[in-house]
Amino acid sequence: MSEQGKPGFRFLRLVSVLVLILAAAGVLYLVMQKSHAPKKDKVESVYMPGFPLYTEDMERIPIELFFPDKNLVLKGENGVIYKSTDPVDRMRQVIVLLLKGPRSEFLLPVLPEGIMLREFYLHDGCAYLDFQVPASRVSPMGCFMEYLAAASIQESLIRNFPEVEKVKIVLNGMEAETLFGHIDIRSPFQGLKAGG
Amino acid sequence: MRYTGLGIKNRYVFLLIVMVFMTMFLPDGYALSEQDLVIVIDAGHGGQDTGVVGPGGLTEKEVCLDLAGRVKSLIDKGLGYRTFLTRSRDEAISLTERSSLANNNRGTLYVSIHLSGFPDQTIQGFGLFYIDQAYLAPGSAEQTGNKLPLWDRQQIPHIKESRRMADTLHQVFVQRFPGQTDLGVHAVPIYPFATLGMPSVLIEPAVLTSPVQEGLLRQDNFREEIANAIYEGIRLFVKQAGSGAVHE
Repeated sequence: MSEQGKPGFRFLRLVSVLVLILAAAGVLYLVMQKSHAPKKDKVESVYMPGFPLYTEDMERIPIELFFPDKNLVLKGENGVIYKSTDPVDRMRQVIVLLLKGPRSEFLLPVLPEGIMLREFYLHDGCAYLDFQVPASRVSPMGCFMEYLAAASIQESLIRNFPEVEKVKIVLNGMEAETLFGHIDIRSPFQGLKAGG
Repeated sequence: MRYTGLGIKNRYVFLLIVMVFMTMFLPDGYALSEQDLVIVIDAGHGGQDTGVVGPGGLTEKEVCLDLAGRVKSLIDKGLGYRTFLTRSRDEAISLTERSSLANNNRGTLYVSIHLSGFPDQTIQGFGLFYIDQAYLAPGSAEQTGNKLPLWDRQQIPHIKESRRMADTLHQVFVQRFPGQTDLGVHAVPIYPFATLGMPSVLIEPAVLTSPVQEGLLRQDNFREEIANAIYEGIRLFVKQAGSGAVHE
């Protein structure tokens, strides 16, 4: 009788095959789990307070976000937000979408990665935006791009919400002279032109 | 005896007529006299504030300082005007301090040299910037409930000339860099331009985030071309602003 014909060897071979099948099934299960997992929403990476701005069962409403194109002219991009009960939460959603950047490859993101919305207030027609900016930040953009970033924020709020008349930006909870070293943000602004 | 000459009232009327007549011979626009000229050249950023960093690691602060020094040398040699650099080495100077230095040194023109940066590496070109009345008008400030402080009104009398200086520099760049994209002349609320009591412009002669332009900015001759264009823009502006103010 050959070695392969022995009952002990056949049992070992059967166990090996079973282990392989189980391992393959496990790998398949993990791959499927990963592919079906919901994509991680980037909201938490750009919005600090953490309290929910909407619930999934809320009605959705269209909005228009403004980003500069490659010719450095602001262009509208359609988007959708949840119709939160508090209008300020809708405004917060617009800023969150703005921070996440444009969907179109022909439009430019307006704020660099690492910047988060700390808080947002609306008082007497003025939208107050408080951005969290890394302490070690360097100017990631020139004067023109910085201007377009401020204009994008202004247009995205004023065009979607008639109750917003002007915009005031503060950084890290404090008054700041400039957004990134060029544009004066000491006072609220409202008349920034779309093309500079 | 009755006084028959011109009465006091009539003398004032006569003097008023003479003064009005004399104003007809005043130069139109912004007059600059050569001995009063102080050209303030501001090299953007510095110290820990690198400004924009190119994809190859070249920093805006480094290029701006070099360009500012080149422009100063050209003015010193070619025009002989007094020049003042807001920084002459790699150091951090706040924007408020730059404005203070320019005003306290009796600056008559302010040229701030920066470089552009965009989140898209294909964008390149040159652009000119100045501050407009729309961002300084007391009316708009009152609407916000904040009365514009006196310090922030220093640029108001100079806006027209700031615009003209930006246009002059822009024309020179269009002529001298026909292969580069013209990003235009724009009125934007630059800080601390509101506080500058002299015609003021900010120039971004190239885009550092463009690998192509970063490569050019590493070259000595490209920097010299930029410095020459800024120098020529200043020379033309002064020439147009005041008769006899420029050596021909």
